[in-house]
Amino acid sequence: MAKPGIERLKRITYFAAMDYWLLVPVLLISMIGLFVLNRVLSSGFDAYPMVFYKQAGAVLIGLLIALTLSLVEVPTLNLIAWIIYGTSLLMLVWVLVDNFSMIGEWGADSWLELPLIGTFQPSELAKIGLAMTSAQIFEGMTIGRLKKWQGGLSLAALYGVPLLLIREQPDLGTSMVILFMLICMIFVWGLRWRFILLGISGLVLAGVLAWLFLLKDFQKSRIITFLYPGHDPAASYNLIQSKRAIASGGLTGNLQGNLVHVPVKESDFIFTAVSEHMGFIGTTALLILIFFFLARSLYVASKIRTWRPALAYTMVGITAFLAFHFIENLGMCVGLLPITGIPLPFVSLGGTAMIVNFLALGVMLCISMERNLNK
Amino acid sequence: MANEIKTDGFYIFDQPHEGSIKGEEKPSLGKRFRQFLQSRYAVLALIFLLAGALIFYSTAILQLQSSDVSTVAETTGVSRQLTVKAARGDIVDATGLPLAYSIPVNNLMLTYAGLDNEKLNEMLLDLSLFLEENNIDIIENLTDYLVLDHSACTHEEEAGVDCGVPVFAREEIEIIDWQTHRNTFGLEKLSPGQIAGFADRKVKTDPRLFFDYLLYTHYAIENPESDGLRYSREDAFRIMKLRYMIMINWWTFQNGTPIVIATDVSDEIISKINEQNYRFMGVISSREYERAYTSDARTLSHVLGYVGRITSAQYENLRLQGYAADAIIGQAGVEYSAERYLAGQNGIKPYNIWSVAGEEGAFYSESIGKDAISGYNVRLTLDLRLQSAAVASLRRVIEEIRNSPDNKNKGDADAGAVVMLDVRTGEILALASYPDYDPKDFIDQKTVPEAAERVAAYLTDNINKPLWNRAVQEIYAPGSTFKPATAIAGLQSGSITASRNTIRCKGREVIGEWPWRCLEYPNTGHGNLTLSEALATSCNMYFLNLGYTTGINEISYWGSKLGLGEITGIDLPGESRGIRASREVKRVLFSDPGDQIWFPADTCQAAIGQSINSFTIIQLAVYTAALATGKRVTPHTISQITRNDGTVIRSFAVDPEPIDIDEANLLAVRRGMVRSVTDPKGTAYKTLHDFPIKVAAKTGTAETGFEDRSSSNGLFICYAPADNPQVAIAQVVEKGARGSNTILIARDLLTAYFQLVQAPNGDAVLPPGLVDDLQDDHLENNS
Ligand SMILES: [Zn+2]
Ligand SMILES: [Zn+2]
Repeated sequence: MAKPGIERLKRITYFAAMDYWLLVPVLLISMIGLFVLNRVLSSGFDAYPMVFYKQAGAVLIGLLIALTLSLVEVPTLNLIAWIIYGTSLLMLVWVLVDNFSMIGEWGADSWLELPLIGTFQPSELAKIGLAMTSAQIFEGMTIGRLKKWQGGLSLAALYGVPLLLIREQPDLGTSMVILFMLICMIFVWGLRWRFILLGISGLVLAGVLAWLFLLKDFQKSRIITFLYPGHDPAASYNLIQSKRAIASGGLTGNLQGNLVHVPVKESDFIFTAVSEHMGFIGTTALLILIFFFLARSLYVASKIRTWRPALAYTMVGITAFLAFHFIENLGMCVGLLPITGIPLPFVSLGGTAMIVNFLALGVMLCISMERNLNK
Repeated sequence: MANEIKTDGFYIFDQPHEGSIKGEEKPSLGKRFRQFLQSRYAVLALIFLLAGALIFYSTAILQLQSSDVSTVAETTGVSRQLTVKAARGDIVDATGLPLAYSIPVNNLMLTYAGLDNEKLNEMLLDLSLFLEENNIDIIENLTDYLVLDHSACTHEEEAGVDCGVPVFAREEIEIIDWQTHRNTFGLEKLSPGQIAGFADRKVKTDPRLFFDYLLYTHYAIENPESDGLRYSREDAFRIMKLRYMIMINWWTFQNGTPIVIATDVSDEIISKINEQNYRFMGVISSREYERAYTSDARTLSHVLGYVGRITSAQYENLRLQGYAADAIIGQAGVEYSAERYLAGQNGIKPYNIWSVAGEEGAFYSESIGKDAISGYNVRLTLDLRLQSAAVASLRRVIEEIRNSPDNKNKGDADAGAVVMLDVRTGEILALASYPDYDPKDFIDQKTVPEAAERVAAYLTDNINKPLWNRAVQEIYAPGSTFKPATAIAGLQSGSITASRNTIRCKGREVIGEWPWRCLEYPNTGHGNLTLSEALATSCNMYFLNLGYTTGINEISYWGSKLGLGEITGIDLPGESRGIRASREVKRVLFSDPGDQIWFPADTCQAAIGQSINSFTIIQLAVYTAALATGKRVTPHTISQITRNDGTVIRSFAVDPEPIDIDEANLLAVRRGMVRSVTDPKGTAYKTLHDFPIKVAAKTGTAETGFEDRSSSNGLFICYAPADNPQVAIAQVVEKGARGSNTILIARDLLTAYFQLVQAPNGDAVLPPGLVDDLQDDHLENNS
């Protein structure tokens, strides 16, 4: 039995233990992102070049955080999980309280204004915290430390609190991501197929109920827009422009770029800019990197699952929410999925999201290195 | 799983699954991969990859199939789209009289058409002359700094052709700042001894030299090398004005945001310009809507609210809901609370402009454009006629109180509020707050300097606070108007009963370790008083005793049941919760531990509506309605949201909530409130005893703690008819000295109300002869 953490690092060098199959794709994705962002921002963005430097700085800080986190020992990671979860809950409550005092009856806001950091969506942090903490409960159920009902109740509590808090905020995307994450974790934890089928039918029912009672008007309008393009002029306009911009890239991209006007091209629709500037070749490279990264994460998780289940579940949870972000954002740009305002991880403009994504990467690296160290 | 062990709180298995403990043989890559494929992790990976493949396919289709079409179209594309602002919904009163509506305004705008310098200058001059011919003012800023002075010229020959001397319109320091500013010309400051020429980038303090700089260098209107000039000086200056507008908006202009150069342009001119778009290249028009208020709007200022440019904090919140950074949104009143109904949905209009290449570029099919959907209309519960009566009466009574000072009245009454609501539905029939403001000023401030001054005053006047809705946002100590609540608490808790409720007023007494005196008979006392007598005369000793025996917990409990110190849920922004005296609240409210202690005397103070009790007028109205009906209503000002065709989208009727108070106890209190009007000793007798309809009322004079400097606040609550309640009124006059001083406001409102109410068959609800009385009365009041 090897000793955990830094003890072992003494024997294997940090560089040898690093999982480059995870790290390098993400770095390349961010590089593509910075390249394209620079092109987009340089043509007519007010705060250019400051805004670009900030983004590049966020990538560097994120990388630093990820590398630092990858050094952490597993028990510490356990503690960090609860710290992240707790912090995100506090922030969600803060957002709620903040909102009550600020705006009247037209909907709330899921952003938090933090000193130094700027606006921040605490729900981002909640996703990581949830993946990490609920993984420990899943592990408890796997090894029999927790009875099924105990685990179920703990999970309900763990997920219920942030979901309720987020429901108060107009963040349809986040609630969907969290549910998706939970479903993926339950799936790999090993729910029987017939329960899964039961669950799927339950979800359909829940969807109908949510439509009737939970969703706010503008959230519904987003879904309707997706089902019936043309319902909301602004949204269908976005989609048409997005497709036009992607098309304008052609095989190798357009040197002038920025010819098609797409709203929020620098954040939600950054993928259209990738296509415009780098064409089929660029988007293909980006897609390969993204999906290799996701597959690799799941591979690592499967390898560690019988030995450290919690880490495997954490890995799946984090992969699930990143995958959801990636797929939803890309799918939205090409018109396969509704427009929800989820940015493309590691690419879209936005410093805090970038740092939170790297935080997730750090946890993944830490897990993968735990495996490498025990080979 | 027998060999699982626990390390540092972590369950781990001492055997890594792959059997890959150091030294052991590792399974081959192929085998490891097969293991992976058999797990559920692979299923998940497969799903993700499938999604990836779909995305790849959709992307590739777009990129590879239609690349030629899109690249060609895009590079010459001068087709753009424009946001068409939706018209804001109308706001009408309960009878359908318009208060707020939207008027269309045509804007003329310049957009980037890719013209070269020479063509652009020609076009701008052409446009400029065309607009001048049609008496349309061009929006420009250059003349803030530079003008052509014709005062010295004779104008004998062709007037204004090539005369006029360039002159700066500002002080030299400002001109230097202007010329050196990064967003304008960015000229360099002169170092000592340097002399600027028209072709260099140095600051030019000579206006003629600066004019030449613009003419030859910066805007290249004339070529310094050619002999003779193309344009007259006035014409060149016309070009400069528009070039300057383009220059200061360059960033957004270049990115396709049009610059507004004229507003409020007639449809006729717009169609002339659109017909000649080959001539006015890059000139487009848009129809926008502006908020407008009728003259009646002023009467409802605090209910209606006003609109204004979205603030950056609001924009952050509303960006995702499709609001633009320059949107005009509701900032107060119903304009604020019904924003989501009033706003409507902006549309998108594609437009084509003639470019140099002469492309007509029918690039967007018309179907991509979307019409703006105008906002829904809001129907208020308020009746303009009652509202006007409330506003006029409130203002007049405040003035009268100010003009008749006495030993208690320092003549300093300056503000007040009154609310009248329907006790059966919670519909607010009138709501006035004084001082008030004119919502129209917020619209006119761009164009009318006086309006701008008034708006500035509204926003900065922290003494009169005209924007402050005193009926909803301000809290007042209720004074004796709280006594019915104390009575209810006493009756419900059993300190007294509906039949046995006599308490003796001795004039002076120590209650709750504190010496008190009856205000009316400090020496002899009122003697034995029943509850209804006590309510009628408002004897403090009775309620001090009653409150003390009942206890603060009961008083606070029943106060909250009656809606005091509770959010009423009114659909106007900024409602205050108020403060209801209780042990807990006092503890929370004060930081000093000595102040946090609840003394027995506090209970006595609270029982007569003092202590820390402070409520909004709207709460007092809800409370009065609750006394009248035994039910708590949700007060509201919006009755319906309707489409333009009149179909109702939403109604805001909320059923009143029954309160658990014994009917006998309510009756006992109501009797007292009626008696304050009918009994000659009653506090409301003087002003209301001859009113043709039976009214139940309670006056209140609330000490503010500043009695050495200013008068006490005068409050009054009532409902009518006493036997079959329809409406409740609550009101305050700040520094009104006595509650009874304010009763006239309620009387005027009741008069106006009962004149309007007719039975379904057309007969008056009032007894015969009464209507005439009321009319006479009304005339008197008006004269
Ligand atoms: Zn002249
Ligand atoms: Zn007395």
